[in-house]
Amino acid sequence: MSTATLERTPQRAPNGGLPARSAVVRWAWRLLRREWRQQVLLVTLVAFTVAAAVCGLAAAHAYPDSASSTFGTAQQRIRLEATGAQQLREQAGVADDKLGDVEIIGHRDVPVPGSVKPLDVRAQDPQGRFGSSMLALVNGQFPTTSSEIALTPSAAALFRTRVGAHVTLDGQRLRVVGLVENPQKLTDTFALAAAGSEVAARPATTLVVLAAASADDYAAYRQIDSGPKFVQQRSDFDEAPATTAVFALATVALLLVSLVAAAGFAVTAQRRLRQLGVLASLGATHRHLKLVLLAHGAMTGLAAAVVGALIGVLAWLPIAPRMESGAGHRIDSLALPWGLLPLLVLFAVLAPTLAAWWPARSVARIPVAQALSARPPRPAPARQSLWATLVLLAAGIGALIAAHQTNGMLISLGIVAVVLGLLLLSPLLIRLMAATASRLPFTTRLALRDLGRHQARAGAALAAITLAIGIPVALSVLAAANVDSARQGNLAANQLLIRIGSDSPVVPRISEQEFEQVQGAIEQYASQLGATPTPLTKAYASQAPQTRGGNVDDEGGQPVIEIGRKTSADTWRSSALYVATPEAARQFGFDLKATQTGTDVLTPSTGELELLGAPQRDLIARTQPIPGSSYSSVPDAFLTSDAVRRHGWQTVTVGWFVQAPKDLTASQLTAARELAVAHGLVTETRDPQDGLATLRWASIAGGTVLALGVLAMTVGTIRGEATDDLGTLTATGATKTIRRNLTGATAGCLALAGVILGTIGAYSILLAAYADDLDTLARVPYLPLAPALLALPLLAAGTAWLTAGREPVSVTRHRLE
Amino acid sequence: MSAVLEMRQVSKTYGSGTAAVQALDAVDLAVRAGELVAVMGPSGSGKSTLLTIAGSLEEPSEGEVWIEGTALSELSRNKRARLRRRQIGYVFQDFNLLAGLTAVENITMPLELDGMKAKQARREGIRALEEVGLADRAGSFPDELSGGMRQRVAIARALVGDRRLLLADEPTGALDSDSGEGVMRLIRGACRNGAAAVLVTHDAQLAAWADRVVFVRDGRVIDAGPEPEGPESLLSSGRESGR
Amino acid sequence: MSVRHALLALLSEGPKYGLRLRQEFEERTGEVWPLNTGQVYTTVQRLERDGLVESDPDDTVEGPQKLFQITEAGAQELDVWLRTPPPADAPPRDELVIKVLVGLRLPGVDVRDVLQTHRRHTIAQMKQYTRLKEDAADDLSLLLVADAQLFRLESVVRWLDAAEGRLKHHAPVAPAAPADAAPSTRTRRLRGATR
Repeated sequence: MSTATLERTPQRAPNGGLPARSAVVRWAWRLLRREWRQQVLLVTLVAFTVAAAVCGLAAAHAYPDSASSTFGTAQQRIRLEATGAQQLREQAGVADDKLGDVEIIGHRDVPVPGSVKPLDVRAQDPQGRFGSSMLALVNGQFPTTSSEIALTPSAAALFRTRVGAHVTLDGQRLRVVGLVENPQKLTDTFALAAAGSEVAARPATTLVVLAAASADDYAAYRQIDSGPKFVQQRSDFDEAPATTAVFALATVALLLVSLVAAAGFAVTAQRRLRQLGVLASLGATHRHLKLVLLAHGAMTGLAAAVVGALIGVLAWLPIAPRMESGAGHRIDSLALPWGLLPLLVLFAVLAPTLAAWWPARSVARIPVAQALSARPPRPAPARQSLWATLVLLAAGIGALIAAHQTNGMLISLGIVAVVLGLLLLSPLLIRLMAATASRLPFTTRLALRDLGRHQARAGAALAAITLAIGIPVALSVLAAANVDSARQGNLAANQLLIRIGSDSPVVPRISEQEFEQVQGAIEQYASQLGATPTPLTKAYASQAPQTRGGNVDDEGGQPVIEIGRKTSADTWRSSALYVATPEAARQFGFDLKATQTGTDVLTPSTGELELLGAPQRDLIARTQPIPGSSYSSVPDAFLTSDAVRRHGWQTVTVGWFVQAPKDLTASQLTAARELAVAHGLVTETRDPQDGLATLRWASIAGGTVLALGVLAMTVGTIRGEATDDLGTLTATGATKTIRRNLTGATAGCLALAGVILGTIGAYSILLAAYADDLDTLARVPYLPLAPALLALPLLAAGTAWLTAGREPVSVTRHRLE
Repeated sequence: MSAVLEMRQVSKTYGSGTAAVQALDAVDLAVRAGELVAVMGPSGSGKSTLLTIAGSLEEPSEGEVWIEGTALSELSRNKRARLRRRQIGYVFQDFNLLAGLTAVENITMPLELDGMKAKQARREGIRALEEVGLADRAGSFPDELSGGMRQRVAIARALVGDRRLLLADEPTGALDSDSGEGVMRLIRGACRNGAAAVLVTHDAQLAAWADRVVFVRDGRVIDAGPEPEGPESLLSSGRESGR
Repeated sequence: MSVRHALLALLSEGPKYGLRLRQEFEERTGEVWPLNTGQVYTTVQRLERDGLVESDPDDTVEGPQKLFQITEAGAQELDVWLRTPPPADAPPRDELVIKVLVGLRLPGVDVRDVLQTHRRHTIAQMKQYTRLKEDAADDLSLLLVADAQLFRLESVVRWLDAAEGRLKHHAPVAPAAPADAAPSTRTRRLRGATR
C-alpha cells in the first residue's frame, strides 16, 4: 500500500528532476527581483572587484613588452654577427637553407652626432613574413628605393628633420619619405630603409633572421652554423606571469568579497526562513531548499560579474591609449586577455555561489517546523570556533613571517589565513560585546544585546567592516613605508642625477672620446645652473665579463660592484655603491680621513651587507657608519679606495650629481632632459610621488565608504528585523530620540569594533610580513589613519541616528514575506 | 476504509533534562477519508505540534504516524518530502503563499516539485483556481490579493494534485468572519470530495464546522468522543428565541 | 422579536390577506423560529384594535380571507421599534453558572470535567447551526439567525474557557475528594497536581 501510493506517478523523477529544479530556481529569481535593493551593495562589491580585475588583467596583459617587439610573429630570432659582408651572406644562406621560411632584416648602425648611442638603420620589409607587426606607418610612406628612408618620430627629432626633407646619416644624404614606429616598442629609435640585401645602398653589418622552424630543424641549424651569432627562442620570453599574478590577486579579492557575501546571504537566508519552511511543507527536499539560496548566490554573482566585466571593459577602453607611452608600445584596447576573462567571470559567479553554500546548508538543516515559526536554532558553542580562529591566525602569521617578503605563495596563504581568522573572530567579539553590555547605559546596552541576539549577521557585518577597514589601513601603511624617506622623496628639488645608462648594475661602456664629449656637455649645463657636477664612479672587477643586456638591442655593459642584503639563500636586495672619491666626500658630507683601515664601505645602513658583482662570492663588507641623506636616490654607500685597491678592482665614471643653488625650474629640467636624450644619458630629478599620497587617501576614503556601505546594510537589516521591538518600544512610550539613539549606538558599536579589529588585523599582517625589517613600518601614517579611524564610528553613529527617526510603519502589521 | 491519517501514542518532547517540555503526550488520532476533524485547545496546548507531526514536518519522540497506511518512521527524508508533495496539503494562518510567485505559480509549485512539466502543472493550477473561484486572479501576486483570497489560493494549493490529507492551522485566524466562512466552506467541500482534513483552532465557531472535535489540553487529548450527528435535533432542542 | 412588529413589517410592504400574512411570517422567520402560528390572527386583531392596522370595514369575516393594511400610526410604531435598543436582559446562562458554582463546592466532582461536558454540548449545538448555515445557501434571514445563535453559543464556550483558566490559578474550593469520585484521567492528574 505504501509503495503503491508513493509510486503513483512512476514516470516522474523521484525527486522532481528538472521541472522541480527549474521551479525552485524560478522562485529564487523572482525573490531576487523583488528584493534586489538588498543585494545592491553586494552586487556593487562583486562588480567593482570584477571591474578592477578586468582593468588590471587588461593592463597586466598589455603593459609588459611582449616578445613581439623583437620577434614579430617568429619563433626564433637569430642575429648574425660575422664580420664582413660575404661571411654574413653565407651565414644567412645557411639559415635560409635550414630553417625553412625566414625573414632576413639587415641592420647597420650610423653614429648620431653628439651622442653615445648610434642609430640603427634597418632594411625591413613592411609586409615581411614575420616582422610586419613590428612596423607601422605613422605618416608619409614606406621607403622603396635605396635613397629613401623613414624615421621614427624620436629619430626625426634627433636629426631635426621631417617628412619630405633630407637627412644625412653617416655622410649619406637620404630623403625622408615617412615616419614609422615599432608599435610593439615605441621607444625603439631607428631608421627604416627599403627592404633588400643592402641597407640604404650600403652593406649590412648584422643580419637578423626571423624564423618559425621546428625544434629539430632549429637544433640541426645550430649544429651546422658555428659562426658568431646571437640566438633567441620566443618560448624563452614568457608573457604569462603578470596576468597570472593579477588573476591570482583577483581570485583572492573575490574570495574575500565572497566572505562578505556569505554574511549577506546569511541575512537573506534568515529573512527567508519562513518562506523556505513553506516550500519544505509543500514537499521540497533538502536539495531544493539549498538550491534556492545557491541559485540566489549564483544569480547575484552572474549579475555582478556581467555588470563588472562590462564596466571593466568600458573603463579600460579610455585607459588603454593613455598607457601606451608608459608601456612603450601601442596597445590595442580590444586585445584583452580573452582567455582569462570568461574564467574571471566564471570565478565571479562561483565565488558568491560558494559563499551562499554555507548559509544554504545551515538553513536547509533547520527543522521545517522551526523554520515555519521563523525561529533560528541556537548558535553552536564558541569554543571550537575560538580554537579554529587561533590556529588560523597563528598559521597565517607564521606563513607571513616564513615568506620573508618574497615567497608569493606563502604570502597569499598567510593573508587568506589571517583574514579568515579575523572573520571567525568577529562573532566571538560580538558575543563578548554583548556580554559586557550590562554596565553600559540603556541604549548602548540594548544595542549590544541586539547585536548579540542577531549574532550571525552582526558577526558577518563586523567581519565585512573589518575587511573594509583593514585593507585600506594596510594599503596606507604600505604606501607610507614605500614613500621614499617619507616626506622627502628621491631627490631635493635642486638636485639632479645624470647617469650613463639606467640605474642598473650593468653600466654601458663608452669610448674615451664620447665620455669627454658628454662630460663637457654636462659641465656646460651645470655651469649655467651655477654648480659643478660631482662625478660618480663605481668599481668593477675586470674579470667580470661584459654582458649584453637582457634585451638584445640594448648595448652591452660592464657589471659593477653593488652592495646587497641577503633576503634568501640565493637572492639579495642590492643598491648602488659608489667609490668614495674626494669629490664625493665633499659633496655628500663625509670625512675620508676618518676612514679606518680595513673598512670596505661607508654607509648609514647597518646589518650584514655583502659586496655583489665580483666573481668572488660571500664578500662580507666591513662597514663604517656615515651620516646618510634623507633622499633615497642620493648616494649613501661608498666603497673605500682602499677596498678597491685590495680587491684589484677598476673604477668607471657612471654619472654626475649636480646640486644647484636654487630649485630647478621647469625649463632647466627640460634642458637637462634634452641634454640626456642628445647624449643617450638618463636623468633623475625630484619625483613628487603624488601617486602614493593619492593612493593612501583614496584607499582610506574608499575603505571608509565601503565600510559605511556594509554598515548601512547591516544596521538596516538588524533594525529591520527588530522592527517589532521598535514597535513595542514605541508603544511603551519610547520617543523618537530613543529609537535614534538605539540605531546610532548599534551602528557606532559595530563600526568601532570593526575599526579596532581591522586596524589590529592590518597591522598584524604587516608586522608578520615585515618581521625581518620592522624599520619599514616605523613611520605610521597618523594623518590619514587617525581621523579615518576616529571618524568612521562617529560618522556611522551619526548617519544611523539621522536616518532612524522614522516612525515604525505599524506596530501590528506584518510584512508579507 | 482505513484512516487517511492515523496517529498512535504520539509524544513529543522538546529539549532535554530540566529544560524538557512535553508538547504532546501519548496522543491517538485517526481521521477517515471525507472526515473533517477539529483539534481544539488553548494556545500552548500542543495542537500545532500535533499538526506538524501529522504532516511529517517534525518527527515524534515516541509513537507512530501512518498516512494512507504508510508509517512515516520508515520513510527517508526525501520520501517524506515526496509524501508531502503527493499526499499532504497545508494551510497556515499566515505567511502562507510564496512571495514572488503568482497565485497559479504558487499552486503549481508542489506539482512541479514533483516533476510535473510546467505547462501541464499550469493547466492543473488554473483548474484548482477555478474550484476556489479565483480563476481570474491567476496572474496576481500574493500581495495583490486580499487575505481571504490568499487563503483560498492556499487551499487550492493544498488540494491540487488530488491530495488526500488537508492540514489547516488556524486557517481563518487572520480573516474577517465572512472570508473565514468562505474558507471553511472550501474545506468542507474538499472533505465532501473525499479528502481527510484536520483543523487546528482555539475558535469554537471554526471547530463547529468539523464532523468531530478533539479537545487537547497540555499535550493530551482530553475528549475525542464522537458526538450526536445531524441538524434534526436542533428544533427539538427547543431554544427559546422569540419573546 | 415580537410578533406584533413582525406583522407590522410584513404589512408595511403592502396590504395583505390574513392567510398570506401567516404564510409569509412562517417563511421569513424560518423553521428556527417556532412560533405558534395561531398567534398571527389574534395579534392582528389586537393591532387593529390599537389602530396600527386597518381592514376593510365591510369585511366582517375574521380569519384568512380578511385584507389588512398598515396605518400611519402603525408605520410610525414600526420605525420607533426598529431603532429602540432591546432591553439588556440577555440570558446570562444563569443555570450553567449556578451548576459550575455548585460543582465547585461538591466533593468528588471534577469541575473541569463539568466544564468540558458543557463545552462539548455547546459545540455540538454550534455544529448544528453551522450545518444549517452550510446548507442555507442564499437564505439571508436563516443565515443571520444562525449567526446570532452561533455567536451567542460561542460566548458560552468562551466563558467556559475563561472559567477553566481561572480554575488553573485558584485552588479548587472543594474539600478533599472522596475515594469513589469518578476515576477519569483528568481527575487523577488534577489531584496529583494539587497534592
